[in-house]
Amino acid sequence: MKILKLIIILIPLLFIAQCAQFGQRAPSGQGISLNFLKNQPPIDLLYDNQNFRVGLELTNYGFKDTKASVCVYDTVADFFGGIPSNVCEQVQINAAEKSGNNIIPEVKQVYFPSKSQTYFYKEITKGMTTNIISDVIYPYETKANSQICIKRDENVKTTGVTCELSSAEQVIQDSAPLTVSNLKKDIIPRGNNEISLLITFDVQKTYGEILDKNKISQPTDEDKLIDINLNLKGITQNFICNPNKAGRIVFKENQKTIKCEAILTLSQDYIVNPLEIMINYAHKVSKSTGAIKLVIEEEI
Amino acid sequence: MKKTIIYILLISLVLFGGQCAQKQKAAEGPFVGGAKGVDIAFIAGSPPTEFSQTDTVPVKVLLKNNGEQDINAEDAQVKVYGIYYPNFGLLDQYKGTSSILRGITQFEKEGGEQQVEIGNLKYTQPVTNFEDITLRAKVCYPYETKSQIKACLGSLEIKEKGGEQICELTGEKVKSGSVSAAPIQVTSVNQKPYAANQILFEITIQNSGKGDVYDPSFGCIDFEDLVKRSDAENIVNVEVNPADVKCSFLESESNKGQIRLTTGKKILSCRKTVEATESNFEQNLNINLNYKYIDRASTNIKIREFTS
Repeated sequence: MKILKLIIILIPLLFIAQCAQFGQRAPSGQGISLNFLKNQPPIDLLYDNQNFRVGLELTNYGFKDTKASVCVYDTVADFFGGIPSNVCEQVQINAAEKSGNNIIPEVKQVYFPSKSQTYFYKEITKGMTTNIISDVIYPYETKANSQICIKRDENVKTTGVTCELSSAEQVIQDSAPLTVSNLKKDIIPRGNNEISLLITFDVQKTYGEILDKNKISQPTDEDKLIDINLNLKGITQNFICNPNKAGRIVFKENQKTIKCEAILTLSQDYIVNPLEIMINYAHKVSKSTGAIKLVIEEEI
Repeated sequence: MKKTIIYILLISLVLFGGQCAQKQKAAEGPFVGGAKGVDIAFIAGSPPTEFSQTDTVPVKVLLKNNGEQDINAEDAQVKVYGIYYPNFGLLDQYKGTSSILRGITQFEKEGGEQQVEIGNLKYTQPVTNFEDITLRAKVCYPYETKSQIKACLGSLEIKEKGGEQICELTGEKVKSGSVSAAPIQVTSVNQKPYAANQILFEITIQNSGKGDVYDPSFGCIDFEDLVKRSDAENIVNVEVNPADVKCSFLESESNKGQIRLTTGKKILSCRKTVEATESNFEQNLNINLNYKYIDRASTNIKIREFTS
């Protein structure tokens, strides 16, 4: 009886332990995260003329060496000192490494104005607060893979393989700022071994802001354009995706459905081939200290 | 307690004895029998289940003839399929066997085996992390099913005139060992008197294997073509002897011709006129089937991204 009680207690504990372990797993390939280093700046209050620097820790979970644009700014006018407008720095951060199933992210620390220099607020008035904000913008490529079966006609035998003219397909991808979901394949036979292959999928934003990768240094809200390329490996990359604006996709929403089409000729009844979907864009992540109280001498 | 154990032991002995007696039961016909033809399987390690994208690995299959028909050199042909060949450095072509692939016999229970080297696989596409791929191969070979059925020849006329009844005029005539081991089987020959002086044979021909059957006059490469294949699919050449047996074939009524299996099966109706004799008698009805057969095998491989 005691053993039974022990088992009843142990089983939920095991489940909890396992879940906790999952929770601790490092996010894989999800780009760059941004955090303020402790007390850089102090997040509660800053005194008039108190020197401070902004220390940032960038963590790259992505598997590509990345050149990121890091900017800091505050919400107080330049007259009061603090952080001048448009303070940005280009930072090179190496790719994360894989060690078995684990991801070892690359960590880099960046200081503003520099490691040995500081900012300070001056001539502040009673009751003032500031908010120090940091942005990191970097190019990112989402890669999603799927094995799809393509057959040349409806009535061909595909013994041992489930191969329909229309089917939902499984997607394998690392987590990323933009992810691919609801992948669907439709084959339209055109005769003479020719088919039209339609690939439909949703592009979904997971976090941050999506921008045009060609405008990392001067991002604008006007054209949030991303590039989508499909590669039916070895066979064709000539997919035309819609809706497009001069060949690029406007991505202003949190989710968008994309339809891509290619014409293929098959000499066999069917083939199973990897399909790779690559989405290129810039990702912007912001971090704010929250309101920092600015304290004048009389208040001390 | 002791009694119970003794009873259990006795029952076990009886059961085992019965099973052995069943296994030793001799075939009533001249053939070993069975529904197997040429089996195909990837050879372990060729390709390995997992390798790096930079590796070049061999692809080999093993063919084993588990049927009763010998296959001449080059007649059994093998190719990989279902992949985009340039991605794997493999060729879109059949490779034939290098020597005869002997079938099983009453004396040789193990059929001939042969290894066919399809080529060397080198994945040419970029790999992110890994790619899981199912590699498939098929074997295409000509085959023959032979059968020797003891039919009962007689007629209602003989019966009604009081002729001696040596055998059963009506009923199933396929016995164990009356059909050779092959994927296409004669699974039933049901005979019955027809009109005054005729016997009707209802011959069931069935695809008892896992593969596909085609017209033997076509080449393996023809089955890649949708139009040619639809002409050849499920066609079996049938020859029934004695030659005066007339069957309803696709083209005409004869003792030889073609049938088309529908959902893997065809019941062929044949008739034979029986001369007036004093009694009915047993005679061999030889039904030979010729066809091309395609069977398949697959193996899963994982191609890993190269990391230095």
